[in-house]
This record gives sequence, structure tokens and C-alpha cells, in this order.
Amino acid sequence: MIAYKIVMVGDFGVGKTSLVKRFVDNSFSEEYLSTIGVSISKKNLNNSTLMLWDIEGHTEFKPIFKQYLMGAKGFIIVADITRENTIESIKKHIELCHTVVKNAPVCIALNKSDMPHILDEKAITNLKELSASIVDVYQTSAKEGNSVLEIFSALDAQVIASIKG
Amino acid sequence: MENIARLICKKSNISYIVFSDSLQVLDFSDKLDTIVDDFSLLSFDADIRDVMWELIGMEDKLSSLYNDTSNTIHLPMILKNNHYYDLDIEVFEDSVEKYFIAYFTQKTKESLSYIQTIKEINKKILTYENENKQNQEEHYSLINEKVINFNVNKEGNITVVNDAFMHFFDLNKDAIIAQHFSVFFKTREENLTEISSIILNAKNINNELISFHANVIPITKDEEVYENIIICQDISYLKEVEKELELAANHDSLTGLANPSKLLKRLDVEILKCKETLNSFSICFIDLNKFKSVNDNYGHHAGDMLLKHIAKVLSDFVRKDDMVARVGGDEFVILFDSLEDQEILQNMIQRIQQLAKNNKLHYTDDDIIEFEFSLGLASYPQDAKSAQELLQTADKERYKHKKR
Repeated sequence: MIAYKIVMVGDFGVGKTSLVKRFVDNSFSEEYLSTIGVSISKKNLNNSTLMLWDIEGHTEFKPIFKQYLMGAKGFIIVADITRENTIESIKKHIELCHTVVKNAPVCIALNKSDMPHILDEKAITNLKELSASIVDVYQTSAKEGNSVLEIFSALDAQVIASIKG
Repeated sequence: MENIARLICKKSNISYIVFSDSLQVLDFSDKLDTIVDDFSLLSFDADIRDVMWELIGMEDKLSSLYNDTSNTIHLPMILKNNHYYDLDIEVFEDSVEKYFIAYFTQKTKESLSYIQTIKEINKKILTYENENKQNQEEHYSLINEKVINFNVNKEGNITVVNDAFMHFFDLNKDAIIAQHFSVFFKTREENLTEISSIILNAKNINNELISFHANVIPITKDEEVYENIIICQDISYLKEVEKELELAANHDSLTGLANPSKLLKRLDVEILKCKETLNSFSICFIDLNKFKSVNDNYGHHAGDMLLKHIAKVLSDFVRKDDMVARVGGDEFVILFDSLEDQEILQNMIQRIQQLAKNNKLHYTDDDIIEFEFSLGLASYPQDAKSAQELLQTADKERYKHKKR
């Protein structure tokens, strides 16, 4: 088993904790409980042990603490598909991650895809072009479980390939 | 020395683990059961990463720390079993070797209170954002009910309509979609491309003609316009404004009668008509006698009331096609349409004088204001060749009878 660190990054309230809970415990809660600091979870997937750092979301008055990003092998950038401002933040989140871990693979989760939204295919294509390190963009739903396993599996495959490569 | 360190840590509620550069546990304090991630694995020589998941991936950073290229590793606010800890890792060196010490400092009650406040603020911001979004949707829904908007394709055929459109024409969507917009709206433009606004007219279900100012918003795909959104604003009120402006420009503001400008326009029209038909018409210049004494004795309000009273009396007296105008402070003109017979005109003069006698102004219960007119007649084309000349002739005739 290879153990490595993945950090969940995004604005506050986009569903980072919900994605981790769905992936680790297969559970979901409608109640919003803001994450302060960092909570670390462990999940075995295929032949990997993923250490998932669920960090405090970025807010206008509190930036992301860069120390949390150290040593990560990959990042999941999470945005709320119904909140345009959280999607606009993706670019600067990627840039921040890459200042700490250069060229680390990134998966983008457009979460809450079970809710009505207007994001079209062109916008998704534009997101993919933000960085060469982007593995893929997923429309996830922590509530219904859509694409949750897929996004972690894709990032795992990329990380394992880069470790072995 | 080690015992002193243990005592200090215990007193300050700090837990610690000592580990080597090969990441093997060398020593640890008590009360670590709620702090380390897998307490069952905590033993001497255990891999520190098995009990402290924070250190997975931190190997390079630890190596730098060990080799003096960085000072400390500080990870604040780590949540473990509902408690928050700050983790600090430093290198300690004694006479024999160097090793790492990881300190866990539990956050104070004050810090936890601060954390709770931040959580509440974040929750409120998110709730506010959601409510704001819902409010916006409700507002759009209300606008959708009140303001007509629709989409047309490049050919001008309707592709989308809103509730207000369907309600205005009392039609369902099927009867509207794919029809050309000109089926519903009358306008000079047949094509909406490269137009940013347009005036549209349409009859509502009560057959009233409504005018709209419409904004045309192009929707583009690959830099090419494929549809336009049309947003219509009812501007029928502007017609009312236009009427008011026309009234103000052509009428006397006190009495509501035609003003000199409107009288002259009408005289010109009548003169042209007479030239074509060889007919005649007449005017009567009316001057109110002793009006100054009314103002002096009763005040200007009474004077204004008297002028308004006379305006009504004269307006009630004339025929539908005649015109009464106020041409000066106490001067009026009546235009008698198609009237030239001197006998009838003299009869009119007498009737107008009689009007003054029969219609005294009851200003108050005690104050009854009497009035008299001086009158002068003139007819076109017998007495003048132009509107101005006709007025001057009638005024001269009136002057002969003026009582001051």
C-alpha cells in the first residue's frame, strides 16, 4: 500500500467536507457545519491509502493556510456549481496549490450538481484548460454520491502513475 | 533534564512524541489516546506516520528541518476527536544525537469560543447567500409576470415567450412560438438585427393600443448573433405626458382656454379654408370692463376667480366648432365659425352682453361681483386680409365701446 496526502481546496460552503464524508463513510448531512482548521481522514482505495486533508474553506477575510498544502501528492479543487463566484475562484486555488507543490495533479469537483444550475459544456471545457495539471473536471454530488468515487479514483490513478513513473 | 521537560509539558497540558530521523518513535507523553490517529500502534520503534497521519507526505520537510534548513513545522488547528490542537515539530539536539519532538498544544477555551463564532458567521453568510439567491429568483418571477419579454431568431420568429407576453395577448405558448414577431407587434422595422432599441405597438385583450419601448439584446455563439432577447417597457404614459405638454403649450394655464398662439393657428386655418371655399367667418374681441377695480377691491384671487368664471360662461355659450381664447389679462376672443351675417352677429353681441348681466360671480355669500364687456366685431375677408389684421380690427371696434 502506498500512503499519500490529498488536500481538498475551495471556497467555504462548497461541500469539501461532504465529499470526504461521502467518500470515506458513505454518509451525507444537509446541515452545514463550517470546517475550521483541518480535519484529516484516511481511506484505502485500490492499493493506496489516501490521507484526506479537509481544510478550512477560503473566505474573503481568511485566506487558505499554505502550510496545510505541504507534502500533498494531489489536490481536489471544489466549487459549488450553483455559485458562480466559487467557480471563478478555481483558477486562483490551482495557482496557490502549485506555488506549494509544483505541477501536482488536480481534479476539479463542481459539487452540488444535483441542484439546478446553468453551467454549460463550454464553461467546463474552459475550466479544463486552466492548467496542464488538471486531470479532469467532475460534476459531483455529495448528496447523491454522483462522481464521488470517480474523482478520487482518477486522482489516485494519476498520483500512483506519477509516483511509479 | 529530560524529567524537567516532562514536568513542564505536563503542567502546560502539552503532549509530545519524540522520534528519530528514521521516523521511529523514541518517547512519548501520556494522554495521547485522543490525539494520535491510531493509539493501538503507539509504541517505541513504531513508525511515527502510523500514529500521526499529519506527517505522511512531510518527509522532505522533516529532512530539511533535521538538516537545519528550516526552523520549525507549525500546523495549527488540527481537529482530533472534537478538540483542536496546534502541532509544532522541532529538532532537539543533545550531546549524543539529534531527534524530533512533536508538541500537541490543545486550544484554550477562548480559542474554541472564537472558532465557534467563526463557524456561526460562515453559516450565516452561506444562509444569506442562499436566501439572496431565492429572493432574486422570486424577483425575476415577479418581473416575468409584469414585463413582456421574448426571444426571436435571426428571421424574427419568436422562440421564447414569458408569462407577461401570454397574459397580454391572452394566448398560450403554442399560439405564439414560431410566429413572426410582427404578427403581434406593429413597428416600422421588420428586422431586429443591429438594433438596440425599438418602439413596438400592440393591442391588448381590451383592444387598447399600447406602446412599448423595447430593448433588443443580442445573444451570441461563436461571436455570431443567433437570437435576440426583446424586453418591452410600456410607455403609454408618455402619450399622456405628450397631451399635457400640448395642452400647456396651446392653452392658458388659468382658464384652460386657447392661448393667443393657438388662436392665431386656428385663424390661419380658417383663412385658408375661406380662400378655398369663398366662405366667411367672424371674431368678437371681448374686454372685461373695470377689471382693475375687482382686483383692487377684492384682491387678485377674486380677479382670477372672475376670469375663470367668464371663461366657463363664454365656453358654455359658443357652438361646438367655435373657439374661445384668452388673449390678454382681461381680454378674450370668440371665433364664430362660418358666421358673417351682420344681423346674426349683432344679435350675438347682445346675447354676450346679456351673459354678463345674467352670470354675476357669487364670490362669497356676501360678495357678488358684477361685470360688463366691451365688444368689437370683425369678419374675414370683409374687414381684414390676415389673422393679425383681423384681431386689430376687432380690437379697434371694441375700443370704441370700452368703459374704463
